[in-house]
Amino acid sequence: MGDIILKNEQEKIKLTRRDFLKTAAFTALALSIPSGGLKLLESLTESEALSEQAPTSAQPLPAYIATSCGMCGGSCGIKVGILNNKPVAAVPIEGHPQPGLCGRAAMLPWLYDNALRLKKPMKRVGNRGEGSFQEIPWDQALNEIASKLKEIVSKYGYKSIAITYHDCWSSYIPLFTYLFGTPNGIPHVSTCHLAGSAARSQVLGIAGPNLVDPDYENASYLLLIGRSLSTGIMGQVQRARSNSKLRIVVVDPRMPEISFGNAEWIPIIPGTDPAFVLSLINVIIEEGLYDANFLKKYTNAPFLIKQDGKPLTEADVKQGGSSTTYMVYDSSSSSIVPYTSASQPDLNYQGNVTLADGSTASVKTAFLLLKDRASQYSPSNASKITGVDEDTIRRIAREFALYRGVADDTWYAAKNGNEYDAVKGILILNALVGNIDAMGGLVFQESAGIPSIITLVTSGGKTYAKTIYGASMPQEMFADSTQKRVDQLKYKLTLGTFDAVLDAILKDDPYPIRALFVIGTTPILRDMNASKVIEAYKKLDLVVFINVLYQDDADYADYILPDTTFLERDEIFATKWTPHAVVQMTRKVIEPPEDSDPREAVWAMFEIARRAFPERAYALGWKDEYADYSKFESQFVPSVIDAILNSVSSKWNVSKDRIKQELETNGFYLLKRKSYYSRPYKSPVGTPSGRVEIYPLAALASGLDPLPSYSPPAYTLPSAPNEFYLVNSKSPTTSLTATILEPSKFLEDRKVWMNPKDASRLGISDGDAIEIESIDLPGAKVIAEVRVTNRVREGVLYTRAQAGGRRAKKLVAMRHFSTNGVNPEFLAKVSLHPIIGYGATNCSVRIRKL
Amino acid sequence: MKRIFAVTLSLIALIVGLVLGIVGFGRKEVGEIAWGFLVPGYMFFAMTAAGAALVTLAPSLFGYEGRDGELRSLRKLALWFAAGTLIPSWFLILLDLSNPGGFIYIFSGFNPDSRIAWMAALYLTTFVVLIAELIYAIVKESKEAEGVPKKAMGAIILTMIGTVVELMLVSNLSQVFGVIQTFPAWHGSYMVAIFISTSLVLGAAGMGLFGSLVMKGREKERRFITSYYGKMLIAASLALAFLLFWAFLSAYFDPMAWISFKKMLDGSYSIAFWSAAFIGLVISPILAGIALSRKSAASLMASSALSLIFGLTLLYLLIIVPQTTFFEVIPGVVRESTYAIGTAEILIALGGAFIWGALIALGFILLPLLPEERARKLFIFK
Amino acid sequence: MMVRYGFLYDESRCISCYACIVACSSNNYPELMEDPNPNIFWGTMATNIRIVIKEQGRPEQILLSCQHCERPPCVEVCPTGASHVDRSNGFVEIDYDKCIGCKACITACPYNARWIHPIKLKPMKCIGDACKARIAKGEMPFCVEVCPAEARVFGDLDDPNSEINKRIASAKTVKIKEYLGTEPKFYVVRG
Ligand code: SF4
Ligand code: SF4
Ligand code: SF4
Repeated sequence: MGDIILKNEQEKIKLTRRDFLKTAAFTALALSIPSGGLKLLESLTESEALSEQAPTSAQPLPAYIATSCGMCGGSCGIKVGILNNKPVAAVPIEGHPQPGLCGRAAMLPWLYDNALRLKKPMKRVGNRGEGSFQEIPWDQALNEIASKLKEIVSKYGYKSIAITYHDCWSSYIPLFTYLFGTPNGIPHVSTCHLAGSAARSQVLGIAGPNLVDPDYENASYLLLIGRSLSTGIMGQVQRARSNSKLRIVVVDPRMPEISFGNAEWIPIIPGTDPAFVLSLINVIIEEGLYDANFLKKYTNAPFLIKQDGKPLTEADVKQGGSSTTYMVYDSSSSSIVPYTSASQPDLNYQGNVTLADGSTASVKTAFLLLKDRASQYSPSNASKITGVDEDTIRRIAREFALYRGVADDTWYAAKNGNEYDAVKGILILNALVGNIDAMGGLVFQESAGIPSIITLVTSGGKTYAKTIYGASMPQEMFADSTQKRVDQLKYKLTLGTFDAVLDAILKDDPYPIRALFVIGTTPILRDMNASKVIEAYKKLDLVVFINVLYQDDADYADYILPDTTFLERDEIFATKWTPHAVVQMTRKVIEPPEDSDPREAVWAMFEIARRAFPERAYALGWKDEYADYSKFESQFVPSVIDAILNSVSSKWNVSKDRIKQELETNGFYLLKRKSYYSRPYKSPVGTPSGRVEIYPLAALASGLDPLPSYSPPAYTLPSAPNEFYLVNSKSPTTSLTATILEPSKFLEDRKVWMNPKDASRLGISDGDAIEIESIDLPGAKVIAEVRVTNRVREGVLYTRAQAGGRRAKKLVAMRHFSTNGVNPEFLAKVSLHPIIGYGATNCSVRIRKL
Repeated sequence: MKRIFAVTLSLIALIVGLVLGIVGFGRKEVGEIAWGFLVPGYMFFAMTAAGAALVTLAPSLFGYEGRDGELRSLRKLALWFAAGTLIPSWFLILLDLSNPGGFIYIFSGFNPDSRIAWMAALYLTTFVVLIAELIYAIVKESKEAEGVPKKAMGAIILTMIGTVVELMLVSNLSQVFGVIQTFPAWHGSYMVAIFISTSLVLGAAGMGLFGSLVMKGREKERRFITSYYGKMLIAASLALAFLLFWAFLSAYFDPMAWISFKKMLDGSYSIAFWSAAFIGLVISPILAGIALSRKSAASLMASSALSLIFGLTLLYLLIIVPQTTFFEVIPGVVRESTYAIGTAEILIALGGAFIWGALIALGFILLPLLPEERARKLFIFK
Repeated sequence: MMVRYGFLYDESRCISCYACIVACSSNNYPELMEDPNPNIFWGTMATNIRIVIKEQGRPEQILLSCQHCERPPCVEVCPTGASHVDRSNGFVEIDYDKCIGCKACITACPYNARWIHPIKLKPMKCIGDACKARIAKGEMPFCVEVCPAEARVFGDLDDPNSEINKRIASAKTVKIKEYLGTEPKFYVVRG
């Protein structure tokens, strides 16, 4: 039992002697005497032994190395303190554009040689789900995986291999897809930022979520809807908090942590954000509080829209006119002209236009359409939907316009299935007050220009997949790599819908998937209806789990491969959550713990490919000598970093050495500060019109309603007295890694929150246990303890996501606290937006006091 | 032969007590409150000791020694009982420390602001004075037996000192808690009065029980014990009942203190409180009354035993319950803790009880404590 | 050099990330990192910072640590003088050689700012040794250093130009349970 924690030396004596004297009947007593006696004696003979803490200045201080944090996907800049060959502390890097720290980063000393760390490759020995594994050598693991893969590919083709991932190694995923000849590298986004990304790309022409963000440190009024700033990346909050004139308003069914401080909390009925936002839009338009000038010049608000919803184009009114030249009514010339040539585009025009074919069409500006739409959500109407009173809606709308507020474009937001409309409304709201790319507004990130690891290039009429480090794979070797992914076959606009992979596994729909690599993620805590995920795991021919710690999904793996932590590898990338263009590094600050042999997932994937499909590996630049991990570390990794540095250095015209040196001392290099008012002012945004589109034409093209509207959440609404919404989110100490480290036992709140009014109505008191059953997934039940608190709205229960309800065998044994609470994914049904493919992790439940 | 056997038995009990204490010491764990069972445990011994000396000796200061000097003849017994009861008190409190050996720092670094520092000083003084009184009484009696008359002055002076330090001991003990603002229920003017009357109840009960036991077969002494300690017990119990009522009443008007008192009245500690109050403040005085009217030693012994149990429970509640409610740094927020006696505490307390029994027995065997016994060896031993 | 250190906790800025708590723990009590129940007395980690949350009414949170009282009840009740005020820096400190573990200071602290070490069975509190070592080198204590929200300030209250005095001058601060006469040196900006 390596897990027995010996409290002190005496205990140790006690234990070893106890083993020796096991048979004696009075052993315990007999041995307690020396134990107690020793303690007593120690104290009587006093006492230096008990106060072994050395006085202050003699205490050695750790040496700090600048790197990036990997406790969540945020990659904040931190310095790691190393003492006696162990990481002992983390502190923020001063001056870093995305400085740490948060509770997760502070837990890093626990991560390094944690008992839950995956140390050697393991192979399943029992049934899937039993969680019994056996350590095997790397070679054996890689060989066995490779031969299994070959078998699967020979039966079902390359595309039957899928890779799912989160942030970790995400930049390498495109490379992996060529390596294995499959298109199916499918991320977590359907339960995260997919809805927001769809809305952003349509309204602002950029998917994000980090490529456009509020300019927190310069904002004056920050409106957070569907966003609490509690999740990850404290740098953003830090920037907000360092701005003392900033007013923050959060609209959320539960009070987020920042509202302990000076952030107004508006409790809203879950899933009604679109109605709330539309109501703000309504007030701002009705009261004339919008920035008409901005709307006219930089948005498509004045575009004339025909009755069929399509924009009036030059082609409509003129033979041979362009179908991408949109028409507006110019009040200076009182005529309908292309939007680019109007000097006074009218926002409020409506009338009839004679088309080129002689027919007339009645047209209306996009602005008027928005106004009409919003008028359905007057504060009194919206108040009924959202549960927020009329006066508050009006006040927030006026304050927002008056202060020229910025509404956060959201991030981890797939909660109710209608976030696409909510985010679209939020983006429009920002445009209405003209706060796009303005100082303190919603701003576009300056691109650092980090090249993609692999790109398609055509030369001499042939297409190659070319890596940044110089290798290239010719088209004929692509196999299925460039085909459509399973999820994209089903959801036109998706950036990643893992549920499609599950259907491919379970129903061969649209084709079979038989092998799954799970890299740095845990779908059981990530995707709706976790039972379906488990069912799919059980059906797969090969499941490879690559991670740092033992997570829930590991129970279902055939092979578990230990990855390196961010403390043990080098990586270079753009700083994610800053408006500036910045490169930063994760540095190898320490060797992995002695008894372990973790290897980077990149190495493992290449080595598997080298054994299964050697020609593919070689084509992508792999060499036999990299099988020696130290060669990989000393040659391959530097070659990638060097290639990126070369590209950055030539783009910004700074010497590579300079960047390198700054990276080493400061952990980051600032390439360019944010310059405001660039897009859409000086250069177009990536929308069809090049403008901010409050009436997104891309949505129209995809068959979506361009204007936001409110439709109820994707789950059955609670109706009986014992029925509730169950909403979830993360806290600043939540990440898949952090929630199974020791401190999480005390820092993460795994109770289910209930409003005092509901509690007294149902006779439930703080600490009572309740059974929670999903309304939409009958039979899906969990048990949790209640926290009675005013931090959640009436009629709503709140639970942390990714923190509680862990079920892996190893976690039950070693981190029992993590099994408490709720994993909401077991209760949420799969309901995906038919075009965008994002889901809803909130649900409705029925409760019973136990 | 019988005597050697008794001595051996007592020594074994002593050793068992020590071993239990040591074993307990090695198993100590942290609880949700700082002061657990060993604190009321040591208070029980200390207050019983002080109370026994007070009820038996103090009246002599006012010239009362019993109709035929019966009270005077219980003096040695009471002194040894008190001194012997103080030792387990030390035992419990020392083993409650993480560093018992460090207690000398209390004297070397004496902090006059600290009630606990004074406690240590008063313990020592009380013990020394009790022993001095005892030796004085034994020596005086044997001198008198040899025909050397002695003036009563020495005894009176010693008794005076003893009475003062015993009262100081108990009042200071009450102030160990009384000065602490953290727990409002401790922080009341009633603490001193309650402690002194509890101590008298415990002292009378202790002596009533111990006296009746050792005076078995001596009808005259037993009758005196029954009537004297019976009356004392009734008087002290009634006083305590009134003072408790007063404490609850004043706590009623202090919302913070009331939370703790309410836990005793109708909360999680109410069963313990009401049963203790019932046996200590109702049954025990009634039994003492019966003892008085029927001159029944058995009745008094039963009454005494009940009062001892009541006293211990009362101290337990007074010390533990207030600690389970902490008034947070955000007004209106109350932090509740729970407490259960741990194995270590049981072992140490049991050890204390063994030592107590052993010491009292040893004294009784070796010292001339009975009225007619005189020192024959080494000035003080039988 | 005589200084009088004090702390400021800005509830209005704190984002509840608990970095301060975790950093305090791993740096000052590394020996308890794997202990499953390192701080039973507070029911939390081995850390000198205690989370106090008000769930009713308007929810509120204070992260509490030793107030380094000018008139500390914990020092008053300490029988051996182990708990004392170090006049050279203003910290209330414990001399563990002298501490006998009577726990009087723990009950006496009206802030519940002390907890009990599960192995040493002695009172623990801010300022931890690792932090003291940092301060000696002119660095901030861990909780202040790691705070991402500038919710914590530490410095010399006797120096009119210190960061902490500037914050006290610019924000409305309160001291907790000041009515007890403890004269705390822990300023709180209410949220
Ligand atoms: S807060 Fe408590 S421990 Fe700190 S000095 Fe004040 S009384 Fe002592
Ligand atoms: S100063 Fe150091 S010991 Fe004190 S609370 Fe902060 S981190 Fe903990
Ligand atoms: S580190 Fe700062 S923001 Fe985070 S919990 Fe502590 S005081 Fe609050």
